[in-house]
Amino acid sequence: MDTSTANAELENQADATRRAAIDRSVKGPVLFLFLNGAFWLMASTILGVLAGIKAFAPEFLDVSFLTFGRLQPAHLTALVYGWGMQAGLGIMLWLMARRSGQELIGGKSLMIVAGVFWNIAVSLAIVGILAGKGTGFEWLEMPSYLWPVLLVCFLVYAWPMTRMFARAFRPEGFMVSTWYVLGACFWFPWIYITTNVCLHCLPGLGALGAGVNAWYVHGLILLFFTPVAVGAAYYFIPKITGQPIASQQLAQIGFWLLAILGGWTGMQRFMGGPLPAWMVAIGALTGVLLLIPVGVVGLNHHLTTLGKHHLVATSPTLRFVFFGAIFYPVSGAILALLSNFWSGLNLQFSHAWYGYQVTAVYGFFSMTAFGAIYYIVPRLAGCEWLSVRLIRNHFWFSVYGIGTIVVTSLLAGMQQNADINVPERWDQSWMSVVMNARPYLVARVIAWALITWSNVWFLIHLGLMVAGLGRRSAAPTLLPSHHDETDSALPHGANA
Amino acid sequence: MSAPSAHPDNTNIDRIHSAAHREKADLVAGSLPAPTWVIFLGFIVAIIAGGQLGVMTGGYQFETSNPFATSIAADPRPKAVGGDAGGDPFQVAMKKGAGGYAVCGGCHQGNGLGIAGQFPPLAGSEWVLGGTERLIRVVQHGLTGAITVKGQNYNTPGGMQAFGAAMSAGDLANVLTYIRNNWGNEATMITKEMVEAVRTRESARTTQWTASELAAFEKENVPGPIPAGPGADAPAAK
Amino acid sequence: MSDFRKFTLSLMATFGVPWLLLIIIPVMKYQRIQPIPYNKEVDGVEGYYPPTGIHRQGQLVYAREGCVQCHSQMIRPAQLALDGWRKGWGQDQEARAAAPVRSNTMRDYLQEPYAFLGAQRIGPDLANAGWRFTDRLDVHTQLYAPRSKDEWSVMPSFKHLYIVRKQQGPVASNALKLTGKYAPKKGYEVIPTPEAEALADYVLSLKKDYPVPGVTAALAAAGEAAKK
Repeated sequence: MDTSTANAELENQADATRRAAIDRSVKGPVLFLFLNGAFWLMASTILGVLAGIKAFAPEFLDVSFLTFGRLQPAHLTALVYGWGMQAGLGIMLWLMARRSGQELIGGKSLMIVAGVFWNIAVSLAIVGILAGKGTGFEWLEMPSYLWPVLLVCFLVYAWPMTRMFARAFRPEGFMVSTWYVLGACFWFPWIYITTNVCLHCLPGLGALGAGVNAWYVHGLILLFFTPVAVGAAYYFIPKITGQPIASQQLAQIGFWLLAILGGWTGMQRFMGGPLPAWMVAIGALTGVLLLIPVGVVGLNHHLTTLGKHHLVATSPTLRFVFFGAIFYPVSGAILALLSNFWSGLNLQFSHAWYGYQVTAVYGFFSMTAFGAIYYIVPRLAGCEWLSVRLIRNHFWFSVYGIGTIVVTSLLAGMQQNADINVPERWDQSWMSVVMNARPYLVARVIAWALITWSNVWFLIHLGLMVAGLGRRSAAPTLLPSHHDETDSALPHGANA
Repeated sequence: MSAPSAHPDNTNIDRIHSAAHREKADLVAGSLPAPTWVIFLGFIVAIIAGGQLGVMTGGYQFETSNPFATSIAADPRPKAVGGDAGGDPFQVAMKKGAGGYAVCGGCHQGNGLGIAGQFPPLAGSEWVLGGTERLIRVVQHGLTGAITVKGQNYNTPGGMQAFGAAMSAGDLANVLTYIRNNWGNEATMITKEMVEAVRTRESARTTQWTASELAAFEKENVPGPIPAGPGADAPAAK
Repeated sequence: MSDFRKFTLSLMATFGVPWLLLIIIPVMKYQRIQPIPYNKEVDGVEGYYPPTGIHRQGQLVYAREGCVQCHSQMIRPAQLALDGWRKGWGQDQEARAAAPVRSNTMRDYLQEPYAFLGAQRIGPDLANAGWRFTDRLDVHTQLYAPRSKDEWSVMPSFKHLYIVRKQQGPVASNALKLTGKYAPKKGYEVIPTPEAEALADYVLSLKKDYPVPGVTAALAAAGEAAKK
């Protein structure tokens, strides 16, 4: 009896030491990525507020570099490349290192340099777009000389991760999180190179170029942001609840279906348009079929959390990851709505498309990323989060804000359909379209403003942590649950 | 909890260590099999997804963007309400012309087929569908003598009177538009301006036309914009 | 084969198939598309389809200003959406057209390096905008002072594409004609920059309602047969 507990304690010590060593080895690059990402997140939400205002009040701040046509791409570029990819890379790096059981040996300085170049490139992209040097390609509006820079920086991170996967040593065997992370390492460069070569280097593709562009946007969402977020959820949910992933079979089905279907979808954005009809139809087919892996993963997470839902109240990580995981089926449902030929034609070319982008990148990916960051950063910085209230504000402002944007975008899309696509209004002027969309746009602005407020504090909070100024404590920062009055003390160490 | 005995900021790894220590161990995934109802739901989704294929694939041809390219779409718009304001000029002309045709129907009959040997038909008539120069002149000034319509000869004593002279240019244009587009006919509409142009040019004319006099105008159309209806071209100034 | 190799090969296979079939092969096929000649008897017009291209310099301005964020440039088939029946979205600007505006095909965008098909319809579709604007001045007025044409418009005013300068003698021939609060100060005039002229050229070149060889004639014939 004594020896077994002693052995268990020794094993635990060994595990903890190994984990700590791994954490320390990735500390520099990961914290660098997170901090810069958080800055771009704040910048993108500010740009989102401005863009939203310009959508219904174009005379506000009437200067050339703040027209809607320039602000909206800048907002999305900052969100996707400034925040999304940096946060994603940071999470991928930490996850891969941890789950493959290897420290990052060497290449740290190169990663930081790559990070610096990444941020320089994103800055040049935003400034370039606002200055009127954008390309007009969706999610690739950055000036055309910047894409190779981002690609090389990404590969600097992706290569060590691939090596870690190849040499992975974990006695548990099956590691679905690392599958997702490795998938993202593979898919992003492939999609990115293909699209940029097609759009920038080939002589001209006309309507097919727009189709490739739409394929790129969906590919980035489904084969980069989704795998990183799902992989993180698969790691943190078992980690915090203490229960294993409910079904290995479901996890494998979910992964391989995503891998198979993700590359086919995208061109249904232009249904009824000048693209070859079968490519649009296959995109519609797979857009709807993607409901299956979404549902399977959701079920798996649900089964894993069974019985431990009270932890959502206390653990910041689990709370964010949980709500992110709820947004996954929501984003999958919106994709299905946009993809099929019945509702998709009514939501085409409407605010619903923007709503989907925000749901996928902010609602699903970013909320999960926040959860991951709230877990990872204390382990890298060696201190705990300072303020429970800031975490709570961050959570609620984000949830309310994103929920508002998702709902109002869908409603605005349906309203646009009622104004543009209804036969009785065939000869009406565009006035009703503009006037009817206005309340939804105002709601969107307010939502982004609330989110900006929470992001400013998130940036400050994160900055303090990275500087090592967090709480010195062995106990994690937990959100107060409603059982506080009855319990004598917060549960120690059990939930973070 | 094994807190470091020395100053807590001593070594990085000690601080990181305490957080790592309280973590739960990684666990092997469970072996719950996929429930049957999941597979069932998956099939339902697959069937709905499959509904996206079919006609919308355009036969898997690279060249086909629109699977409906050669089929005619039903007009879903509500029928145009009568009245000039904002109405389609062609539809307006057809409506008004139908009313004005009452006079003509006395001879040419309501079905536009006329009376054999006496009054020529208008349906499918090359005189109606041909040059508008000729048609306007016929109705404006009348027609006498032998003519051939659709292979049949007609030579009614007295011929056709100058019915058009008693009508306003607009009314005459509407009736002519009507006969050119009714009973299976389809031709460009005639506008008020065209009628006025012919009236100006032939203001000296007082007698009926004969077929030979009109031979020169057989295929000539009065120049002018066609605002609506068959063969409509770009609009004139708004 | 090690697990790692098996895994990566499976990843490459599952993504490689759609990559090949959706992107690589269509892109290669696209490079070989040529304009189709019209048949004068059948189609009623001569020349090649598509007849004229868009103004490329103007399209660059269109891209840089982010016009694609608000405007689409494709007409959907009438069987799927109302685009073709909407007033003023085709060649016929005035009347209640008897036939819908035809849906756009891949060849309509043949001369364009990238077709700005659109993201959202915050503003109207521009596929046939070349017919909607009466002349260059109309386009310039729309760009410089959109709210002078429609008060409720949320289109930005592209003032930075225009120069407000002191009149030198008589009013310049390309000066904009503005009234009310949009008119410049007395003695000043608004002149389009070369970018604005290029953009106007581009907008006026957006005409995608030309007949498709064979198809349009067949459709018209079928339409007449249906009427009878």
